Amino acid sequence: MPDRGFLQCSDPNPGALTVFDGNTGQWLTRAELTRRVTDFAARLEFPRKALGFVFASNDSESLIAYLAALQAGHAVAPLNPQLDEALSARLISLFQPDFIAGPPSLPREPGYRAVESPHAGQLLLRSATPNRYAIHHDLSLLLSTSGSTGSPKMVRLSWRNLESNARQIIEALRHSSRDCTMITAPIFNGYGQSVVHTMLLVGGSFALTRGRVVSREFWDTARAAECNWIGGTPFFYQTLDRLDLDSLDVPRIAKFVQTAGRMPPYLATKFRAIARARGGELHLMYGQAEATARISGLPPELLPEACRSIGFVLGGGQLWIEREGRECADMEEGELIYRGPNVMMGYATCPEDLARGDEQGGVVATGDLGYRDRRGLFYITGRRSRFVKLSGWRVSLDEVEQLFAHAAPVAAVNDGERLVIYAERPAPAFANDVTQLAQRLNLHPSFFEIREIDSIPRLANGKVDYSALSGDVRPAQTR
Amino acid sequence: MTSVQRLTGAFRQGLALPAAFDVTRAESTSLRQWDSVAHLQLVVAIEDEFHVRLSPAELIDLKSYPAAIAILQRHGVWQDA
Repeated sequence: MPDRGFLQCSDPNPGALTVFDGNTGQWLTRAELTRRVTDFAARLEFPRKALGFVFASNDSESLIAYLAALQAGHAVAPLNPQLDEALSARLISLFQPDFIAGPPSLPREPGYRAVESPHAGQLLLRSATPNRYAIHHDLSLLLSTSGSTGSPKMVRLSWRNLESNARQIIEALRHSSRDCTMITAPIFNGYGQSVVHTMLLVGGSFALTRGRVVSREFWDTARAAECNWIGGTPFFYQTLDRLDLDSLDVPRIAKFVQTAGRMPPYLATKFRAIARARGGELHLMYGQAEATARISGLPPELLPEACRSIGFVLGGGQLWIEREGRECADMEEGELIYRGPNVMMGYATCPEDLARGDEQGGVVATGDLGYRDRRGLFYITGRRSRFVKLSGWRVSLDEVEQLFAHAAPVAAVNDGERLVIYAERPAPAFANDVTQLAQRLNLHPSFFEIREIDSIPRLANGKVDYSALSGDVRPAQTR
Repeated sequence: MTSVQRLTGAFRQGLALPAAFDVTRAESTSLRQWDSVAHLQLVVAIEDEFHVRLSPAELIDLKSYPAAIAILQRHGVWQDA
């Protein structure tokens, strides 16, 4: 089993500085990281393939626990260490992980005993054998997508998924072993992990800190590690725009990558100019957890002209547009369908699902609506499915509606970076719900807006007419 | 309204804190709600309330309630009650 793990499948210089932990100011070489991961993996011996929860902060301890679980050949679910206690207890009692790694502050779970951990973090082992089916031998990673809403829906990813997507990203972004990046996202989420995976696989390096983007620690870390590229969500770029990159004294950062959501064209234009002034480039990428992380990327040469495009499909993948089961012609709008080695095995909503094998056959319907132009560039025009991405988290609109429906008829729609709830009652009636929802999702309440409406538009069959509300699905000619 | 009332209001709104929360004790390193999104919301709330524009360095310095007062004093818009 253990030829998994990103430290096993490339052969760079063992003395190469690989991970800079800004919390301690220490570098780990490739050899030190490998030794510590191997030490940790040795604690994870179970009679059969195990399931691990890793509550991961952006520090080397969490990183080592995560990499060790992968390397030991287990299935691992990285989780937010600030996840609501009731929610994490619910996930633990549902999935009964064999081990739980987390910060020293991790609450003791009933049914688990603490064992000596190889580092500052905590390692808890389940006292009794979990009462669940065997875990499928291909399963490596469980990625929580709408997990923050308390819905235990996770994406099941195989080792092949992780490795192939990392290779696709390395090729698209032209990474090399000389590259060093600053991790701008939590490593418990899919984007943060994909950066870790790609840099380890290419033999490059990265820096991480628990400090937030708007903090001195964060930029001190990036500077000390001499990072030469950085990537993040559109919100990261908004923040960076306010922080003024030149004043942050990180002159070596020249390559910029944007992912997880669409960057407003004005920001793309601005950061392309900044990158070019520094002798670098700006890459725009698109993807989703169902395809491990990334699906397509826009070559920097096509900016700024094609800044509304999500680019070309990554190497080894195929992307096309479908409508009612047939492939669309160029410029015709439909749903984006992706086929590639990085397509998930399927979803898991209960522990029994962990025994399931591949159910996708390498194909995923993305739920995104869009079209392809005559050059083969893809564009997204809206969402087919009832999920929105808020601050990188996928939130189910239907769940939100259920939550708010007690006071009045409501309809939740996606409005760009916000979730708008149309309600047949004034907003104050829902103030408590907004507060509760925001807390549960760990999101700022400004992501939710209540709009009062006389009556929610409905179709002839009585269902909500979302197209009349959202207007975010535009025809293909809006280029 | 006094400067204190205006600033506590901006903190409550920006960081999405309940009315009972003592915002004078809000610290960016320990307060769970104070993430990157909340930070920018707080900046906007303070800027709107006091009609100032914070510099990039001030954005980073804004780590607590007393730090906010120091920034507003520098802008000459803070009035002691």
